[in-house]
Amino acid sequence: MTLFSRINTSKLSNWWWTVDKLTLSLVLLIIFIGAFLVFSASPAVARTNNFADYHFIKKQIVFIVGALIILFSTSMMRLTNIRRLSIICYIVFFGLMFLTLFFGYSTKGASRWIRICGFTLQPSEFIKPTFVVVSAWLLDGSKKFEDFPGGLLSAALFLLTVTMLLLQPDIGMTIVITAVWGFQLFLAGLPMILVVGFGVIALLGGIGAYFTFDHFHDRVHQFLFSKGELSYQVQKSMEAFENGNLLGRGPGEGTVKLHLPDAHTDFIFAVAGEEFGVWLCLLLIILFAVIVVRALFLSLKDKNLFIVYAVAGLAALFGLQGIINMASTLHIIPTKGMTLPFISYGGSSIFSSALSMGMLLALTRRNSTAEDKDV
Amino acid sequence: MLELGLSKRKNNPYVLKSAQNVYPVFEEQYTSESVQICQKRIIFAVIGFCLIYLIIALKVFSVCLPHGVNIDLPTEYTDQKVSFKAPILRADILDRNGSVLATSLPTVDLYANPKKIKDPKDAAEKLSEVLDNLTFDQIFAKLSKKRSNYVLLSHDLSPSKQAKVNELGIPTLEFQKSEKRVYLHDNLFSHVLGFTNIDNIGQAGLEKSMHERLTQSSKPLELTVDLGVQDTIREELLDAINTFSAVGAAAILMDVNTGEILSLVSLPDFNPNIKIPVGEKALFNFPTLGTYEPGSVFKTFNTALCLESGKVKSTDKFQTSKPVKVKNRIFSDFHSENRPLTVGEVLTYSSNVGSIEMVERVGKEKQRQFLENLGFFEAIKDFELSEKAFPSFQSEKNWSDVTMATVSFGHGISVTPLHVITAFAAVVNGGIYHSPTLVKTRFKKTARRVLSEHTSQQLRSMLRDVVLYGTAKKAEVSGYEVAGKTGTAEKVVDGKYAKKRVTNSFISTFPASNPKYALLVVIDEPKGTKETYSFITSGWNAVPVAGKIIAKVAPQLGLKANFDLQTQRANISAIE
Repeated sequence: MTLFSRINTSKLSNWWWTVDKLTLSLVLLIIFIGAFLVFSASPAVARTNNFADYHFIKKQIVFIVGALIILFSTSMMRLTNIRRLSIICYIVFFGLMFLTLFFGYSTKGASRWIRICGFTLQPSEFIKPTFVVVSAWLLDGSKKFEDFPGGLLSAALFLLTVTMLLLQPDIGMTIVITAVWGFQLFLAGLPMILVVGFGVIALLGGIGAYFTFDHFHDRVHQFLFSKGELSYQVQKSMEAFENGNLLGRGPGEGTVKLHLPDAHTDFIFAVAGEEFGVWLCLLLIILFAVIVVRALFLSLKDKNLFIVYAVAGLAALFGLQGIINMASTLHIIPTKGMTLPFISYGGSSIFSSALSMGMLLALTRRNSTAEDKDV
Repeated sequence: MLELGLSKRKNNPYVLKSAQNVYPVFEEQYTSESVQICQKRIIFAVIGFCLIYLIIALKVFSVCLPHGVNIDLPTEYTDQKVSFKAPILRADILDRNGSVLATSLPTVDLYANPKKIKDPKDAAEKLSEVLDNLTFDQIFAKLSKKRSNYVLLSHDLSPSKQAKVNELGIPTLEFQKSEKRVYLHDNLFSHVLGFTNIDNIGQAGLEKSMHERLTQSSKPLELTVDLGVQDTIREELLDAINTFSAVGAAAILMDVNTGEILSLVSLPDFNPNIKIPVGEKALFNFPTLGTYEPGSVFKTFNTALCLESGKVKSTDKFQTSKPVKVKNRIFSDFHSENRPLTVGEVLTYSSNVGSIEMVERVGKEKQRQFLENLGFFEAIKDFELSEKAFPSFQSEKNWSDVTMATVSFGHGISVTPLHVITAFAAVVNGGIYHSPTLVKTRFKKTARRVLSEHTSQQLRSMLRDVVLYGTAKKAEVSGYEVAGKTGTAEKVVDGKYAKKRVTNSFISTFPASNPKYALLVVIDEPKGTKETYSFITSGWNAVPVAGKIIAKVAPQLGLKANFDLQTQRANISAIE
């Protein structure tokens, strides 16, 4: 292991000794499980959509390779570069989101995608992590310099982002962004009265959205007011879990998944349940929980508030996405078009997750603060 | 596992280099208060996240294991179950040799939801091209019933039809698994098998009486009937109906030593595959459900009774030239012989007077007992078909001397053909009564002795004489020693006997020296023809039909012909 000798001060060696190896290995494990699940869930979906059986698998392999490159390269970055990357990416993807309003093509009642060089991209996926970091930077600024209006700027940024998301419209993403930004404010010492106040406002916003957006209205209505009558997708999802029982039907042996729409994307957790049973579901939940909790604790390491806001925000983003996806698959909450990070099929989703985790790993590296100061 | 990530910091040589002197600077950038708030609130968030993940984990358990853990993997691996796409729910029915008589095919029923169909006209147009049995107007009318959300379009679509409907790509059509009962030989076994309704519930025949057996076990139901023999007999009966312009005909072929029915034909019949209404007469299973006065056929049982009682010996002679008077009634013979007749001759020439004289020696008590023992006073027991009839006869109180006299030659009592052949089999097989059966069973049904071996043997030779010298000469089939008794019974029309309308029967067994089979042929209202010199008695129609049947069926059944070689040689030399 001369490559990673402690005397070696190359960039790679530096990275190896400072990166949080537990989080990194757990993330890699999740990516591995995700690849496995896409392998078994997607052929049925491919067949129904008249693609070759391995269509999604081949694409996903390319996506995973891309995601690993993003993950590793981002995690090697210095703190300053993370900040710069976020700001640039935020501006670029905000621009792209703006373009989707005119050139985007829509599926399932929302126009969120845009075609770039043959790839369909969902810019809002990339807005999430970059927004979190930029917002953390602004909030941190207000703590460092008393006359810096970080809170106001952050609020402005938030409103800008949310407006754009609502124009898509993408309610799920809006909820996630709102929750994460609220969490950042909460960490930044928002008085408890305001915390409660914002909670009420968020609730009212949700009710407002229920009456404003048809797509959202339908799903919530289905969840709240259908007496035992589940939507086809949720019903199949429930059947898949039940069919899996304790040990699962075995890899590729699922039968309910064949009739489960979006089995390879939003409902991949149900495929995990059917083919591998309770134990894989629990393993995934534990993996997500450990990554989130570990990251939350790590964020406090340097008493650097930028790192706290950014890492806790990224961890909450990652955790919330997982929670919303799993909970809607399990019929705890209404279905929201939310992917399971690193596990669901899809380029935008996995690249954005890789970007989040890459930044999180970079910020939690042991000497990230020191490096920042060395410059 | 969840170390805070801070503990090893001071021992890390790489970090020590620059970090030690930089830390204090950072800490001064923030007020200690905001860092403390952060720490507290992070702990709060950690607890929050953990709680949410815990809820999800619990939900995973409740969703995956709603009925607790069922680990069925080991059994599934050892005992691999084959599951069909459309499991057949109703068992096949086979004949005694394993030929399939009735089977079920997987089909689907096609339903539509008119509330959801967007373009009923277009859908009806497309569907009318695929569904042959429905016109565009019919389909359109069904699809336009906007109030209902479930209309049946077509029953029993074959898999290829289903594929064609699927290809049309009309949403909101639904298929429901079903199955169609198919009778491979159309009319041939219509009364034995019966039929099922559209919901596959047995409505007649074995389909009705064995409904539970057929639906509870997928094992085929094996019958005692023989496909080939049934076909031969049916053809001959159809021919007879044509020849004699009869209104109907029936036949039963029974194994006399087991009670197994090899053939049961009732004409007119129907095709159970075609579900269109047919006449009541076609649906009526005469051999088991129809009662009639058997007539002279019954003299067989009278003779058996008298010989068995010991009051009459086979050598006793009876004066039959004069009519006999019972109470106020006078009975005479059709063609009386002007000499005293032996017991055998009474049977051979079918003398009513002789029969009465014989039974008068025995008495009505013994007569009733004997007939009851032969099963004539109840519906046939242990028989699988539900189409069974109760015989009609005088009660014990009303069983007068006149009743005794008429019953001796087969009038004043109505029974089914099945009663006649079952009792007849007992009389000729050595005296053992077997309940008739249509279903092969591993267990032998209960049998009882009703007659002595000796009496049975006497009757066999007397019945053989009927064929050789008496009313049934036309039933003789060289080599198969046919023995039997004819019967011509006038039908009761409007409470009176109608002279020209008769039910003719011929009951026979073969070979007489060691009976194997019994055959009963009944012809309903045969008319006279040129060939029969306008006679309508049994000897001119039922008897020759039975002869033709035996000539064809005996070799089919693998019965060895027992030719009298000397007679054969005499015949040959005579020709030469």
